[in-house]
Amino acid sequence: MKPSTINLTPIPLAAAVAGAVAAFGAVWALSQPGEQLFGASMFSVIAKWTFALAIILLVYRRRYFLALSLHAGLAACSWTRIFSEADRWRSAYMEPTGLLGQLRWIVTEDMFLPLCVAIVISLSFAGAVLGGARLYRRARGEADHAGAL
Amino acid sequence: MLARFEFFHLWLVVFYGLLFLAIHLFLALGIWRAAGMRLPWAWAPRAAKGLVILALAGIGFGLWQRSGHLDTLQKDVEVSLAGICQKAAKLVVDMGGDTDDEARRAEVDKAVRSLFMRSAADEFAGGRYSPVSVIETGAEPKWADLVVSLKIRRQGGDPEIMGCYNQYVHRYSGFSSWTRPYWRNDAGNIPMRDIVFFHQHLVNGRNTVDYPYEVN
Repeated sequence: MKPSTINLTPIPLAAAVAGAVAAFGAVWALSQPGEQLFGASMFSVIAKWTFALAIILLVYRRRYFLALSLHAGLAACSWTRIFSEADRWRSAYMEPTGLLGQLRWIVTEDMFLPLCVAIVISLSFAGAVLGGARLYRRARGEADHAGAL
Repeated sequence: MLARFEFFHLWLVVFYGLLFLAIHLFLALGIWRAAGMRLPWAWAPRAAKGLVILALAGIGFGLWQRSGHLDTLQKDVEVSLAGICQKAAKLVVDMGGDTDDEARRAEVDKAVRSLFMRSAADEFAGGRYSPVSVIETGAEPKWADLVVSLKIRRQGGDPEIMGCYNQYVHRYSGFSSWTRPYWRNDAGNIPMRDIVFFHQHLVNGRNTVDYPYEVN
């Protein structure tokens, strides 16, 4: 993909926040919050997250910074979904545990695959921010250069 | 009684969401700056850090509150169930249940079962996010008992079971070792009363049934 085809126009802060919250809410609703995250529905939940990521990849071409905010919402949603499932599991037993206990449960029990998906989404988000910074600098540099001419 | 567990689950989920959103915001701002770019808003990193701290505080508060409720849960469930047994026993006496008139006994039986069902629905509603699960409410014609279990993982074995043995229906003790439901397996000699509150828990790795309250 050539950098020149990517729309790097910044978006207003309010639009960024709204985008992140909307992505969070939409994926939360899609990931069947009423159902258990592991077992038979695991594949479908992972497929939904991957599908959401694919849609966001398309948005990156159209409006890079909007896609970044959607990506942040998706990443936060995937982690929240996993932790909420861990909390649901924990709260069904008389055994109070903190954040670390939940993390241990997530890593060692059935949540390992969704955890991997969440890590991939977060890492790709970090990569997209880095790539966006480079593209933005280059595009601005070219614009400055063009303006000087 | 159990709705507060649902509340604190929702509370924690909200703050988990805030935490992960704030972490990603913080991450993005840090990467943007590390790539040598100027931030459009100077206050943004501090705001992100503040949100992370707020979210962690919210999570800590929720976990602390819930563990406090967990500490008293066992006693709360026991007291509430003993109260239901007491009410049922009183109902049997008030309706003149101590009789050989089978029609009368059937009426009393029906009243006790509906009291069990109503009380279980009232007291243990919204228990989805709590260690309490209602096993029997008297709806099953065979059993007629009110049984509630309390899951405790660290014991490793069976959950604690509490409730009311409905000896009014099973006055001739119709259970053999083949037909007995599992919550009556370790009951031993059940006291000679109409409605008996029981509490089964592990003592030295063995299921032991206590009858801590005198009902009737």
